[in-house]
Amino acid sequence: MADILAGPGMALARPSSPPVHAARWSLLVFACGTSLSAALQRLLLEPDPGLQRLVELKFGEVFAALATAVLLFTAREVRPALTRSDLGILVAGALTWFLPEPHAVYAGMTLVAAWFLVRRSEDRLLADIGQIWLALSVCELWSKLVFKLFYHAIEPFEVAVMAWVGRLAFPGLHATGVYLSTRPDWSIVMLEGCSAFHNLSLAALIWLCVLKIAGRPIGRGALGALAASAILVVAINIARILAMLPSAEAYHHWHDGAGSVTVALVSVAASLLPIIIHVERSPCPVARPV
Amino acid sequence: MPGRASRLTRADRAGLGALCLLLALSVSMRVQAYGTGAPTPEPAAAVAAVDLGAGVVLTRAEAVRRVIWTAACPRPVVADFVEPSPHGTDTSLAAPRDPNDRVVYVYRGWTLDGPRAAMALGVLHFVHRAGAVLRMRSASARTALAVKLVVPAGCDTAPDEAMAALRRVRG
Repeated sequence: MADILAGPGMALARPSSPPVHAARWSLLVFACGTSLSAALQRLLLEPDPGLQRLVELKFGEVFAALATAVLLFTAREVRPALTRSDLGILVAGALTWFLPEPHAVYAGMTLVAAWFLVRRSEDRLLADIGQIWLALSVCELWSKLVFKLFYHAIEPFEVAVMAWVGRLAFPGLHATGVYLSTRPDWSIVMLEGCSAFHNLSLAALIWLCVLKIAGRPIGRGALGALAASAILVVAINIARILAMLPSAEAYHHWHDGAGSVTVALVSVAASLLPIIIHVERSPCPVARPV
Repeated sequence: MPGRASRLTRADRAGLGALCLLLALSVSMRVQAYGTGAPTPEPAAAVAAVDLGAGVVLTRAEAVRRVIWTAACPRPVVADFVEPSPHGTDTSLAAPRDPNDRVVYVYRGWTLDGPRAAMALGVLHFVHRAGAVLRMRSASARTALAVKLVVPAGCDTAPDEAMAALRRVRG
């Protein structure tokens, strides 16, 4: 059917045309291969990464792979046209799959994303894919690295905000440096994993993926939805930390037990709902009256 | 145009083939590393973990908390051996409970003092780790521990003095 409709002059643009297929699959193999390489290292090399971390980490990668696939296979009017340089950069980025460190594989994805955004920004499809890959590598590598290096400067501020909110629920809440306590014999230390920092970069990634899947531009309404997600994600994390304060049992429930998985899922829902509501309410770009 | 189209086809197919080959190779390498790595675990306790300087090297088994008494202080300096980049629930790099205590880190020949010492330790560790990853070595960077000296408030023991005492404790 597609062959009949396309006509003789449109041979390159047909959906069944080989170069188009190979280019699409190259981009998809690169996106999935990078996430697969990182996920395999996490699962094989770390004996017990914990369910909460798996939930958090998988969501970012799954959303990015889904958004890449949707962009590649549903946009009928745009098709990827990869040059030899593009293919060379993709293969060079794929060499990072051999590095013995799960986060380092995203350095290769950053390289390809930067290439698409700087050198191929006139190609709408490649620029969109570049944005998603950049957001994924920021979420999986760069934001983690920045937070790890500057944790000692950032964390006291987050603890101060938590203590300020927490005094509404626990009037005797005491905060020094990165320690929070409500009882003299029990205190909790805010380490890297306790911060909302990673959840914020994950929320931004999910927001971008939903916008790209829906084919909407980044406007004021979309930015409002991102701000709503960010506030919700930080509020959920503060509530989780405060719930750990009363006792050791409460700490284990919210830090390692069923409570931590629930919080990870609720946090992903808080990243998704505002942007989905925004997309549902705003008119579809194709159906928009001209 | 047909010539250009066929060149594109060839380049696209070659690119896809190369990516699929790299993916298959990297996945098989990971699975193979997992299969061969598990039966021969590194004897972690025997690996040289901390270089205290002046030729004194501690193994991981010897790297336990030491209490160092110096002439200058009524209270001892506590020396801990810590992971330079803690993960999970390791609290060894968190600021001390008493904010007046002074924390000094000694790591790979560097002495890191002051309010940004823990951050400088993180940067040094990252540089070593990145170097090890690029040389395709995953475990080597993880074996080096940092010495964390907690000098009590009001005590002006120099880090070098504490380290010299620590080397004597070992000897």
